[in-house]
Amino acid sequence: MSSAGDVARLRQGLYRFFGGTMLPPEPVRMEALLAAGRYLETMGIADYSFSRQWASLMHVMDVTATADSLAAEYVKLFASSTDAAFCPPCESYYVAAGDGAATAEVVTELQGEYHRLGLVLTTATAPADHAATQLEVMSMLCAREASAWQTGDVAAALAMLATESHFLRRHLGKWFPKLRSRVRASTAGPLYRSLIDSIHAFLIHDRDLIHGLRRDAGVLV
Amino acid sequence: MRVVTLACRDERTSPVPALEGVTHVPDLCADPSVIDPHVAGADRLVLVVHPEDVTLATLQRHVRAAGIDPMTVQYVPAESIAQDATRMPVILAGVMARAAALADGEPEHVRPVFGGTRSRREFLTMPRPHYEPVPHIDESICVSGNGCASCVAVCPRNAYARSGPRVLFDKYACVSCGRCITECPTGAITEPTTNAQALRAQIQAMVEAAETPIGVAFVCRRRRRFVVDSGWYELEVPCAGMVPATWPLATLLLGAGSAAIVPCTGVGCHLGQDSRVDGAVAGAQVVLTSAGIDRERVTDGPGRILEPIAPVGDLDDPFGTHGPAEVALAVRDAVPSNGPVVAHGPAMPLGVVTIDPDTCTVCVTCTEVCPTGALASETSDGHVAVSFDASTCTGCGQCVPACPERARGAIHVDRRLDTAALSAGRRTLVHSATPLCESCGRPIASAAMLDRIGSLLGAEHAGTLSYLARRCLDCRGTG
Repeated sequence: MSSAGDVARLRQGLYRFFGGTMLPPEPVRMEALLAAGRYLETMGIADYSFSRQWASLMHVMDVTATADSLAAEYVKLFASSTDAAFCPPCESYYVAAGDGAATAEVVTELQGEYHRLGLVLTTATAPADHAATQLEVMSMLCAREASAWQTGDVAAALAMLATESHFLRRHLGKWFPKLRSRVRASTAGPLYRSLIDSIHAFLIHDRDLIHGLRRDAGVLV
Repeated sequence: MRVVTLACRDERTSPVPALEGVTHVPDLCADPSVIDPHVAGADRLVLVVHPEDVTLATLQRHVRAAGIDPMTVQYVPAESIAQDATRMPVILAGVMARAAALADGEPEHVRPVFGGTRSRREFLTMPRPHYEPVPHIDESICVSGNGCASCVAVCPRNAYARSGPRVLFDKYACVSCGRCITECPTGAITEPTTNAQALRAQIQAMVEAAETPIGVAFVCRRRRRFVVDSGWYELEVPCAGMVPATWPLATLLLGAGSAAIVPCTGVGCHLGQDSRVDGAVAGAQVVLTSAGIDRERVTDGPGRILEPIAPVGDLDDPFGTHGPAEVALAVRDAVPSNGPVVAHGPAMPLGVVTIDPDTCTVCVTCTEVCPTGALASETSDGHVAVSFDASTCTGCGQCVPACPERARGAIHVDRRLDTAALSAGRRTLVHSATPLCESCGRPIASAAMLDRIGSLLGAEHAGTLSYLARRCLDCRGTG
C-alpha cells in the first residue's frame, strides 16, 4: 500500500530520469543518472509492469554507462542527420514529415502549451519538441500532482491527471512508438535499444495508469 | 527454455503427489516471496496454488523480479489435483509445454487494475496494481487501412472503434474474450496468454503424457471449473466463443480421441457467445460427418472418448492464421477413401468467393481490400484477371461491401470449408480485355467496365463512351 502522492512522486522521478537519458551521454550525467536510477528503484518500481524493461535498462547501464562508444552512438542515432541510422528524438520529425510549415506548427503549438502550463524553456539544451523536453514537462506535471495529493486537494490532483493524460495523448503517446520502431530497425547498441524500450513501456503504462485512476475516481465513464 | 513448477504445500492439498520436476513449497499461496530462490534463472513458471488465496499483485511483483513475464505464468488449481492426483502428470505436462511455448508480451498486452471504483478520499492510499492480459493490435500487420473492421464487428463490448483508416482499441472496455484474435484475417491481434504454438504444445504434451486416449475440452478461463470426467483434460482459452470449428478438429489430428468446446454453465455466456459455441461444435461435426468420421468425437461437453484417428503426418501450424486450410485437408486425408469435405456455417474460419462474370466489371477493387491476398489481380498483354485462392481466404467478407457492383450480385462470399476448393489452388474467377490508351499506350480500364459505363450512359452518349474508350484517365483532355 502506498499513497497516490508517492506514486506521483515516483512518476515524477521516472520522467525526469528518462528525460535525462535522452540528452547527450556525458560521463558526469550518466553517473548521476545511474545513481538516480538506483534511488528510484527503492521507491517501488518493482510493483509495476514496466519494471522488467527497467531492470534490463539498469543492467545495461551498469555495464555501458561510462563506455566511450556511447557518445558516438548517441550522435549516430539522435544527432547526425546524414547517418543512415538517424532516429531524431523530436516530435516534428514524425508528425510533420519534413514539411517546414508543419514543423513550425508543431513547435509553436508546444510552446503555447508550455506557456499555458506556466513553463518556459530556459536553456538551449533541447528544442521544444525533443523527447527530453517533453519528458521533463511530464515530470513537472507529476510534481504538481504529487503536491496536490500531499495537501489533500483531490480535485486539483485529478485535474492534473487530466492535464497529464492530454499531454501524453497529444504528444509523446503519438510519436514515441514511431521513434521506437525506428530505433529497433536501426543498428542501435544495447543501451539505446534498452532505453527506448524502457521509456516506451513506461509511457504505455503511465497512459493506462492515468486512465485507470481517473476511471476509478468516476471522472471517466 | 527452463520451466520451473512449484506447488503449494498445505493441509488442503495433502496428500500432494510427489512428482518429478515439481517442487513443493510451504506457504506459497500466502507468501509469494517464497518463490524467489526457486525461480532464479527460470524462463517460465507453473504454479499449483489455491487461486483465491493468492495476492496477485505481490505474486506478479516477484515473478517480474525473476525476469519472467507474469502473463506467461500457468496456474493449476490445487483443488483439481486433490480431486484426482493420477491426472496430475498429464495436466502438468500440458501446462509446462504451454508455458514454454508462450512468448513474452509487449507493454501494450497488459492493463493495470487498482481494485475498482473508490471515493476521492480513498485515493490518498492506493493498493499495488495487478495486471490483466489484453489483446494488442500490431499495426504493421493490421489492414484496417484497406477497410478491414473484423475486430470492430465481432467485439461484444465495443472495445474497438474505427477512426479514419485506423482501428482504435480501448483496453479498459475490453473483457479479453479473444473473439477478435480468431476473427482477425491477418493475425495482427495477439494476446499474451494464448497463441497458436502454445495450444499445440499443450495438446501434444498431454497426449504424449497420457497412457490412454484422452479428451481435450476447450474451456473459458472465467467459467467455474467443471468436474472433469475421467480421461478429459481442460484447455483454457480466453472464451469458448473464440474457438472456431477447426480447433477441435486440429485437436483430434494432434492425437486426442475426442474434443469438446464447453459453453458456460448456468445462465450461459455473459458475452452472448453461446450460439457461437453451438455453431463451432455443429460445424466441426458436419466436417467429421462429411469426412466419414464419427461426429461424436466433437461435442459441447465431456462425452465418450474414442480411439484417436490415424495420424495424418505432421501439421505445420493448425491453430495459426493459415491453420484452417491445413486442418481441413488433413481431416479429408484422415480417411483414405474420402471424397471432398464440405461444411458451411458462420463458425467456419474459411471462405469461398464466387464472382458473377456477367455483372463483374473487373475493376479489381476486391483484390485491393482483400486482407490476406486470397483475391489477387494480374494485368498482362492487354488483359486483366481476378484470381482466388481458397486456402488463404478467411471468409471475412471485406470484398463484398467494397464491390461497386455488389447491388447486382457481382460478388458473394460463403463461409465454407470445401476441400475441393482448397485443393484447386489459385484459379482465375473472371477476366477481361483492357483496351490501351491511343495516346500513351497504357491500359485504360477493363472492357467489361467500359461496357458497363456504356450501358449506363445509353446510346445518346455513344460519343462520350467512344472517347473514354480511347484515352486513359491521365490523357483525357490533353489534346
